[in-house]
Amino acid sequence: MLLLLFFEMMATAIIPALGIVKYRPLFYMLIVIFLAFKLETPLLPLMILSIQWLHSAFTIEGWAIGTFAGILTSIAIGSLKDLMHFNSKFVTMVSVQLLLFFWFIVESVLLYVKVEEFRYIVERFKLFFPESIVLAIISPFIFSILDRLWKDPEEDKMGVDV
Amino acid sequence: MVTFLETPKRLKLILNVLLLLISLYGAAKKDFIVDESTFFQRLVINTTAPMQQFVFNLRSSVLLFFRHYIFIVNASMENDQLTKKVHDLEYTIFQLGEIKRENERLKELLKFGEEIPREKVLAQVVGFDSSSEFKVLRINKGLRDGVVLKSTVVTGQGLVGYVYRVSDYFSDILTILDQNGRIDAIVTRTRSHGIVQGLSHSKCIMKYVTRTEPVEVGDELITAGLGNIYPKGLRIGSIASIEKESYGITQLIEINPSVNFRKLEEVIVLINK
Repeated sequence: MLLLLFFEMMATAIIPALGIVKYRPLFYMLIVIFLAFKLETPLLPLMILSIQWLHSAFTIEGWAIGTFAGILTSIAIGSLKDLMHFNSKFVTMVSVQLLLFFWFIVESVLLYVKVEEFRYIVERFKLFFPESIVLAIISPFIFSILDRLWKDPEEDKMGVDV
Repeated sequence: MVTFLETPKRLKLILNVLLLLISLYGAAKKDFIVDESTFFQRLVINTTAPMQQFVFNLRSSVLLFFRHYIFIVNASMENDQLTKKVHDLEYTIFQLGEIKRENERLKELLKFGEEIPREKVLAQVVGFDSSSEFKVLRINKGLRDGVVLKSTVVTGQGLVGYVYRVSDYFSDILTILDQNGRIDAIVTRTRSHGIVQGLSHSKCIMKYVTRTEPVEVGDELITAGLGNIYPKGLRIGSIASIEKESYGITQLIEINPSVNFRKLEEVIVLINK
């Protein structure tokens, strides 16, 4: 949660202060994807809800849309976990990119139902695409940090290594 | 089948379904008009926003250092130019003062529009929304400074947005660039009505202007004063482009906001009593 707070500070203050106002990488997505790969716990949906709840203090998006997309993404990861092996940085990047697209599609469908404005979804994609590429590129690095922070004596019970 | 019925998996399935339904309900209920922040959100905002403020103040200090001590090579030449500019501006202010007095007289005469009898609070931008798709700013004034929900936020250039969420010391502003914002607007030249809605980081769109309205690129827009948020007469921006499709009864108008959101540092909150 502290790391998530740090990432939110990065997105809302540090990156804009550096002059990059248009794009803000959504680091919380990486945390959810990491947890979905790392953990087998049945409490994962509640953890996603907590992450989104904290995230909602930094965005007007609220917790609901992200929670819905996050849980569906975690279900997708749960189904594909055995097929995906992050044995190289490139594979990790491509997998993360695909999952971020999946997340985007779920959120966009929900938002389109609400706003009924396709131009808005297009504008949203124009922002999301470069942001997701940056997230995918840095994902091996972020995952290695999270992996070190999440070291557990009983790691064997926690699922696959990322 | 036995694997499926194992307790942890069943619990996970139940939690997944339950939270999917709850979040779907939450998403459906979300209206993006105002957000009554919870105790938890206020706590997080009040704890982290000072750090956001620190980052922005640090940036300002570093920029000032570079401006005042590093980039002073052409200072003398720039000083001469600025002195000339000050004289020009003084003359412009004098002219504007005359126009203002004339405007006040005419307004009184025609009973057109109304003054904005609202308390004003100066605030500094300290952060942005975590998602780039939402054009939301965080300012360093909140309930303790008298800011209330739905207060209008402006700069000298024009309309910025309104207070969407407020905590004790900080507030979130839903800017006019956000697609969730709706402003009843008037084209000043033709008095045509329409609804201005955010579109991207630099553009808004104006909807529901009928094809027969003779609006032109460059026309100025102001708030109409309808609805309960924005007072009448605040400058919104100017028309950037007009698209008339071969079908339909309205035209699609893109707006350049008068406020430069990329360089926004300070704003004025008009307290909505």
